[in-house]
Amino acid sequence: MSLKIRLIPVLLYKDGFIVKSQKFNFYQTVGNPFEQVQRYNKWNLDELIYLNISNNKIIFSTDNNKITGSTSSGKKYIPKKIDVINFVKKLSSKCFMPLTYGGGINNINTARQILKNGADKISINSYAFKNKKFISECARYFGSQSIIVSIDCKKINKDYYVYINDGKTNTNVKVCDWAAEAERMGAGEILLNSIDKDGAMSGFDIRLCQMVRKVLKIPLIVCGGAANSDDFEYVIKKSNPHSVAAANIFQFKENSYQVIKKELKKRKLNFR
Amino acid sequence: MSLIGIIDHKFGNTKSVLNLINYLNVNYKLCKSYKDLNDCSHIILPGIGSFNETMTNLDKLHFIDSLEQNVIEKKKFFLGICVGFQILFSKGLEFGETKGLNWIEGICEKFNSKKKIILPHCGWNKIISYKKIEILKNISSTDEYFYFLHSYMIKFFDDSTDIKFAYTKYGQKFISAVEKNNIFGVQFHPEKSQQNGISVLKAFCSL
Amino acid sequence: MKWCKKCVYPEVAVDFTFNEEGICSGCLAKSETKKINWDLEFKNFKEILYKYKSKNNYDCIIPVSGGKDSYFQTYIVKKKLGLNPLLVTYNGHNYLDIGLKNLKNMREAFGCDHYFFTPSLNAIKELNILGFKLTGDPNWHAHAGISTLPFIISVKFKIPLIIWGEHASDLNGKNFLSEKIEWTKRERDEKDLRGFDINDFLKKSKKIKKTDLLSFYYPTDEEINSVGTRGIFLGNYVKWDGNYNYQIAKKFGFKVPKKKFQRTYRIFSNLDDRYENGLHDYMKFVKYGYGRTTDHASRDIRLGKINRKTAIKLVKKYDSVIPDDLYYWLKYVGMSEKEFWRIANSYRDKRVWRFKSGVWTKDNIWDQKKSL
Repeated sequence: MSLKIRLIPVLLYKDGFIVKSQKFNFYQTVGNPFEQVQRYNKWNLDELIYLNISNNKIIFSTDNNKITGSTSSGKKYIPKKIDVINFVKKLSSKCFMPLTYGGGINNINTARQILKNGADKISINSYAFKNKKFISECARYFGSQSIIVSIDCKKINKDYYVYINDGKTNTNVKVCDWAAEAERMGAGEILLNSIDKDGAMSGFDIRLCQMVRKVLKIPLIVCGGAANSDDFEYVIKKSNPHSVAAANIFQFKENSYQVIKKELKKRKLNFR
Repeated sequence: MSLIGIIDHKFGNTKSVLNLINYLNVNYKLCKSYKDLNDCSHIILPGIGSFNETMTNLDKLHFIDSLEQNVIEKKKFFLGICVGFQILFSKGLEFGETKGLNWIEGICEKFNSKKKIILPHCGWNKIISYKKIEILKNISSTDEYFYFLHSYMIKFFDDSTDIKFAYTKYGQKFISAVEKNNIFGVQFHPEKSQQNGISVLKAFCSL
Repeated sequence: MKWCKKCVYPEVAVDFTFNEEGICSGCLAKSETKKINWDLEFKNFKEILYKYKSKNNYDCIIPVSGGKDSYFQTYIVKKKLGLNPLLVTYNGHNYLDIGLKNLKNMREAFGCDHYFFTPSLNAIKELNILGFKLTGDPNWHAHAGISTLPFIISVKFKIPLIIWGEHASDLNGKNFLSEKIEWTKRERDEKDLRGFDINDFLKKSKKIKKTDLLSFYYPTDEEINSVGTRGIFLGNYVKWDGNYNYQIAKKFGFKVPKKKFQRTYRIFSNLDDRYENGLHDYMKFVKYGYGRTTDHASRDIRLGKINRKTAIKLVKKYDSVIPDDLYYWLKYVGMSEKEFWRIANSYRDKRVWRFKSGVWTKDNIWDQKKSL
């Protein structure tokens, strides 16, 4: 199969900045929401996932996008609400790779506008869980390949349960059941996030990845726990996902994406 | 002085292509009307959606005659992307039979599902035998990957004297790029293919 | 306004985040460090350094100012590890006499080669004014110089490894030490340079041209990649304590001024730049309502040297003091005090400051009800 495995950075946007995340509950600022997207063009990414995890999904922007909120001079930090469509337009204007945007999408019109204004795919999570028909509606209008259903889960005793509302609400539904149903409803891909492994830098939850992979025919993207190339190699060899993703680790060193990609290719893994 | 015309029809992902052309700092124009093509030296036709919808729409907006005049008669450079590439051929088989521009003989049909592949063909795949195609000359053999997103394709057949093909494998061989004199077409999305995509569009605009 | 329940940082502090219990990321990061095996980390540091050892060239670059931390970094690399670093200094014309003496003494005490670079005074004065006008920080040029010059030298002299001291996240917890964060251009561009680059300044000035500012142009990606330039932080591999660094520095001849600082209680910090504890820090107070004393006191709380009650008293005493070097600076650049306040006040963050009856006021930590 010549289709390559994708190595996908996830950018988490929260209240004005890109952040790193720990167990979906503690966040550290990284920086300007736009600058990073521009630099990624030089790094030959396979794909980019951009998730808005702000409270109430409100998007803030500063007057002059050159100055981030945190490092700005006081007078420039006037948090101004901007609408998600303009935000996506701005993001995608310098983004020459497949771009997925997600966060609070809960109606067809917003989905349509986001896809029209620069995103190639949308990621839907809590709303899709509460209204399963939304998945099929989106698939019918935009094609399954544009719809990623994102699933966050936690391990309780020996089972994995789906959490919604930014990891705050336990739905008591087992992750494999929901993943299979999302596929039935028309999802094009599943983005699987382990809340326990988020930011822990101790490797992926292999058992979780294997379990979900078994029940799916559509592509699976696994996320949560990567600390280095070893972790990516291990999860690929043990659970065979279509793509691997990470949020935090691409923020620590200069050129980290290219360095990790090079290493993975050196280990003869199927990356471009 | 070259002017790159980007056809803006209802079913194009014009925005993405526009972003990249804008980044390249060339003179460009968004062509909403068929008359706009007359000023342009190069024409780009982006396309997503279906063969059928694209042809219907181009016809409705009177683009087809204008394209014949500008590309076939006046020999201006043309680049079709994805569905914009598929309609270069004789006909398409999505939702019944639809006539294409018929500038190159061939049929646009669905991937053979017996080959146990997941559709659509979505992701990074390799182009092969591409060096002869002018706009792909600069692609390096260390990275021959482009981003694809489609369920329909043109089955591979051999080069002829005035037509050159590059192909890609996904269960079977299909045509991923074509050059016929001043006409170019690519099945992949250069506007999503990072450095390689930038290189292809740059090369096209420099023709 | 809310403050961290453990230290004295306010919510608006640059690059801080707070958790649900009201503890700041800086305190959280500090408590994470308890898990670290420092012997192992130092071993890792040694391994990295020895990989870069060179037969015919310097083994690494250490950007130094001549302060206590510079002494400590040089001590580790030269004395403890026996390597041959090239010391690199950007001179922003802001040295106190004692700071310069300490710098000279340092290179002699350790016996290192030292690249001491001074950009032209005209250019620097103009950048002082522009830095103040565009970013509210007259010391912008110093952040820019310090974060550019070592890289220019690295590329020119083909010395890939640059050893910095502590990473800013040691203070603000933006990164945990376990992440072993390294130098990234993004941090430089967004944080050190406040999102501006030198061309933005050129556009606004009639007095200087590109050729006046050659030391502010960061090398290209190609140049950086060809040398393999990499910046690592010593603070990720040794337990960092400013007080301890001072003790080491003292052993090698580091001296502190007889006169105390106006805006902080510490005596051994920031002698390389007269404005660091003065005007530059005062502008931080004007913007965000907190100053150097908040930084020092929070650090010392986390190191167990003072308690929060004492810290609050110190903040009350020092944070709002208007430093004398403001007047020194106004004379240096030729700006009137009226103009200074007009610009400075435009930078007051609306989340912090209120203008009432002709006076700027804000909430204060010492007025808060007892929380811890």
